[in-house]
Amino acid sequence: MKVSGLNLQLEGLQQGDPLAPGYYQIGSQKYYYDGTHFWLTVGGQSVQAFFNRQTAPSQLSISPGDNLKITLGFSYTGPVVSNAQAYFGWGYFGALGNWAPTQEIWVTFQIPANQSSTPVQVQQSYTFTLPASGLATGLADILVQVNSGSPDVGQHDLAYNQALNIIGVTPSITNFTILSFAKA
Amino acid sequence: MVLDIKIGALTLTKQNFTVGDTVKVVASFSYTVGVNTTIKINAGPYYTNVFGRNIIQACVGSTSVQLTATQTPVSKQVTINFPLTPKASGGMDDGTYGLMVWVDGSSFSASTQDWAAQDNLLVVSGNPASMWDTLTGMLPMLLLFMLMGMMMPMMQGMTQSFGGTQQGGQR
Repeated sequence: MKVSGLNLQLEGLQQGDPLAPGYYQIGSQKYYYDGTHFWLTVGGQSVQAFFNRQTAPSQLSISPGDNLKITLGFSYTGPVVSNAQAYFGWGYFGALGNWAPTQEIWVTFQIPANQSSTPVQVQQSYTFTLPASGLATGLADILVQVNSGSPDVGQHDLAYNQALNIIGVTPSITNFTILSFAKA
Repeated sequence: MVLDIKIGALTLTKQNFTVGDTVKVVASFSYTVGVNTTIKINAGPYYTNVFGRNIIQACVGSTSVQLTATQTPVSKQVTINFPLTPKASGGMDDGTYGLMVWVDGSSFSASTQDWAAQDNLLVVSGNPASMWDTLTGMLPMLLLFMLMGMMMPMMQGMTQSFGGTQQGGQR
């Protein structure tokens, strides 16, 4: 069994006034903020908006039964935050930007106080064990988030598109060639 | 000294076979898979028409191949035997056929690389002539005889008629 790791660095978190729920215009697009998440209406469907979707810097090959360790990090300045929520998930972004996780988890953690002017690095990790069967071969995405807490740290997310190359139960076959043929 | 170096895919050349022969094909491919698994690989002759490639099912052979889990591509070589079943047993006519090798369940689309084919590789002969083949072979000759049988009396009649006028002229 293999353990593979991925590190995702969120933008720096700083304490400030929490955003009030309501509609917000960002660029040409209108979003609804419910106090925790931003939502976008696409074709009459409400889809959670993840603003920070990036092309994965590298691709990780992983197989059924392997362990996948995802580490998120951010720099922080502010008071101690209790009950902050960290989200780890891998799955697939749909055509509308909708997130369909295959495995996901919310983890409660504490952000230590940092009153100095120099931000400190905070990290959180979670290790998934991929299912041993029924895993389709193909590329998959990763999403991490940090939000909530007391005081509230706001909503921060980062996704890597096609970060995982799932070597699933279906073989991927290439370069099929006939080398020779003759009477047996 | 002349160096003759060719780089690229091997081009296969056509070969002669007799119905009833068994053909041995060697193919290769690369694969990755997350768990140990077994796949089935088929091989057989095909002909082409307006609908595309048509595999002659009575001549298809197959083999099972064990694939060990690997995340980096591994090359694999396989051998598949298939029979050239005669026409009388539901197989193939004499003629020239293509050769196809494929992973069972392949969609045969241009984007997938789990199959390979090349036209006009198998030149097959040796099917025994059937009664129908004999009849169809004799049919043109029979038609000619029938036509001659119809024409002869007519021509004879015309000759006789022409001869009568001559006789009248002598009078």
